[in-house]
Amino acid sequence: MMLLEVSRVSKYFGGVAALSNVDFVVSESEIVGLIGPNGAGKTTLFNVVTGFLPVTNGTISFGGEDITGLRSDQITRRGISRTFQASVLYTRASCFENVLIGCHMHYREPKWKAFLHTKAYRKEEHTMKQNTDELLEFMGLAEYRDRFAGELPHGQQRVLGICIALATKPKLLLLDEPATGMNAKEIALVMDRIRRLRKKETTIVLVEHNVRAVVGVCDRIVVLDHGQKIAEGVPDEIMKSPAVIEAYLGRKNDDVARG
Amino acid sequence: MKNPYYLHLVTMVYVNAVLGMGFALIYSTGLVTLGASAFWGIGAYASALLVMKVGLTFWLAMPLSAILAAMVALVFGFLAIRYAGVGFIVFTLLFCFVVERIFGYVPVFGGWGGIIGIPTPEPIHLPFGGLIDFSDRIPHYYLSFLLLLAAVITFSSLYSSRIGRAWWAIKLDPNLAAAVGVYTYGYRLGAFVLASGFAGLVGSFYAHYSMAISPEAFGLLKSVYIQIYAILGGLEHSVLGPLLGSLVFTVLPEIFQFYPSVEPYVTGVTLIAIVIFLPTGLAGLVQIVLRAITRLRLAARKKSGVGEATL
Amino acid sequence: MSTQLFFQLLVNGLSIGLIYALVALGLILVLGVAKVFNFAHGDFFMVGAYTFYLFQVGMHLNFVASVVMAGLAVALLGALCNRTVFQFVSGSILKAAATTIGLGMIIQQAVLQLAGTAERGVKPFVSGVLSAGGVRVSLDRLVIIGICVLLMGFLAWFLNKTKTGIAMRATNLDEETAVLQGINSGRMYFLAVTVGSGLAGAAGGIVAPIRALNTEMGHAMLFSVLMVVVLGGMQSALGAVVGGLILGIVLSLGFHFLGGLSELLTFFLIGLFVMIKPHGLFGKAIEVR
Repeated sequence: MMLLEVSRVSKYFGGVAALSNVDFVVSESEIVGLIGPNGAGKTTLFNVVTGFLPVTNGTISFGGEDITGLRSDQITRRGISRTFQASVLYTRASCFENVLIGCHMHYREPKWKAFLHTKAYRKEEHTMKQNTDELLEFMGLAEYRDRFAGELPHGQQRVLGICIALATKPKLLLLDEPATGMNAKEIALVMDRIRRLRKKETTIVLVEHNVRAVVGVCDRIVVLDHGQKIAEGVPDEIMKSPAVIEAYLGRKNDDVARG
Repeated sequence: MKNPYYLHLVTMVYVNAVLGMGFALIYSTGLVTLGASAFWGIGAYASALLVMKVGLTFWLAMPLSAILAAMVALVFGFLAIRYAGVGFIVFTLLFCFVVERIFGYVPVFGGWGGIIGIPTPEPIHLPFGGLIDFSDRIPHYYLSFLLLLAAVITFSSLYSSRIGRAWWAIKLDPNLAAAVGVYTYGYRLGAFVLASGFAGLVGSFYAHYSMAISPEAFGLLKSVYIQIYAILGGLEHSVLGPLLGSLVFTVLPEIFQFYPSVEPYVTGVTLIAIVIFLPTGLAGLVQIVLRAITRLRLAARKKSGVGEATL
Repeated sequence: MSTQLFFQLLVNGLSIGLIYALVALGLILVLGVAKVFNFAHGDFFMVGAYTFYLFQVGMHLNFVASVVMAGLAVALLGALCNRTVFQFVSGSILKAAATTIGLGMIIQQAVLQLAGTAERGVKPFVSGVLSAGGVRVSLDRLVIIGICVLLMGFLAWFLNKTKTGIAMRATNLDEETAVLQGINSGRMYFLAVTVGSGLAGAAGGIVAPIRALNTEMGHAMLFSVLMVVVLGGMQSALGAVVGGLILGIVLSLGFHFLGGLSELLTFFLIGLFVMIKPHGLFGKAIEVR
């Protein structure tokens, strides 16, 4: 079953097409890699799917439901979460508080009970806080629990970003360049966690420049360039595809050299 | 027995504290309002009219006025909250300006002279005999204190719950908050409506306390003062701060009555100085002082060789 | 309504509308480049008017020179405020609101104490009428229109054709990128504040001959300018001009027929308009990321 279906989506900024007639599907339990040179439109695609930007044309459906044009918080509550290219965190709050706010949408007790601090609500708070700690543990951040997010080393900040997104218990997780700024050990940890998530039935789409990381973990890769999909297939095919190599070499960047 | 003048001052401190706390509540979601005085005015005029023209008892008019103010806030907020910070503050400013004009020009509100002769609250008959009679200042004082208490309890309870956490998340980064599923618009609207409802509540109190109201009292200057109560007190301490700020800035203007030409300077300089030099406000100052005292005492203890376990 | 009356009202509306536009342009210049919403901008306008009075009536300077002095004086005032206050509150709406309101209070009281509470009147620069096509229109309004158009033309030239002006627009659009391109943002802030404030001051001077001066006039101007900015779009120069013109003409006609209520009515009309087009005529919704 197609979990996510992006159909003929275009996004124009003034006269410039950041996305142009993009078709993009994701099946359940897949790990899909989304690659392409700088400016190809990868982050724009994420923004559009998660409601941070409105589409100019096209539709997006998730789990059979049309989610085009919904607000980002509505989309998160339907089960899609994302991380950001630049670390977006509550820098002056502890890692614990950061992840705790990620649990926000899972409260079942109504707000008036929260206001009155009833027993049921307090019990739920306790559960949320436990979940937060478990999540921090899972992502290897337990030692930073009470440190300010802004104090963390860069790589760990990115991990925290993923952790916060995970707190929303998404069915589909969109990771925007998670490995940037991480050293090899951190990358290995994150990739391992990503694989584990798939076992937990989370579907993942990954945007990455580090092509080696992507090849190692993805079932399928989609390549964007200039806002259009130029290739799609299993990692081996993609790596050998002339169109892909052309797209990367045609730009002055060292991604291919790195990857 | 307290001097009636001081009693009046403290009563007004309580009223202004509630207004300041409302400002702080709205600011806790990241929005700055310059329209708080308008809702105070809506509560006051609504209550006066409900009692004098419709014939309701004050004890019914007060909650109704609060609800009315909240409903106006709902409509206004519904339209205005979708704007980013600058747009929102401009709209609240315009709103405040316009509401004052409406009170002044529309005849039912008594014009620029306002409404006079507003009756005091009807006496309360206590179950075990006895009467609370509002012809005296003291019951008013207690009533205002009760209203303050209600605000403190309501707001604190919200701040310490997941609702307060959502507000905090929205204030610091509305995009991240939305990304984790927080309905930012709704939470902001909720805070705005609640704060405005409380403003209306104490507006009703004010009308029947001062027994005369006029449009100027509810204009932009009052909105600026409300901002001062909150900022001067310290916005990080959304409950204690406005109380402190209100204390200073309710008493200060009383002194200014004797030096009227100085008042704008002091107000203006206070606004600038607080923001630039003491952003955590007076409550923040108190905290700094307390911390310094604790440190001094610790240092003194270490010197005298008292065990560190006392910490 | 006779043609004569219509044209006079139109010209009045245009002249005051251009004044609104000028002041609004100054406001959004400071807002967009220096990222400070100056609530004292209206008081700056008022200072300009009083400075004009000082020079024209007090020192018998001619009209143009007095306007120039008004503009310079307020530009200086703006620079001073920038140094002492604006630069510390840039970017934070709460801080800017609180501090600039405070500044406005200080400025207003200072002018009040220096100038006294009496309303001042200034003799018009030109008197007389222009007759054309059987219609007579007061000359002083035409002069105002002329000067405003000249000033706006100069501003447009400055922002589009000079290196500094383009740098300012770059800072307005995307400060990070501008800085990366070597633009000194601190200098841009300073320039924007000086020019923006100077515009308000000059406007005050230009309009002084046809207005009675009082220290409250700044607040009335701020209110009008806010409506212009809401109508035209918070960040749009074109919006400021078009919005100003629309407001000027609507108020001019409205005032004649409806008197004081026309202000309120206009506010509600703008409110209705904004429900259809939330960000004004030329404003852009702030898209996220």
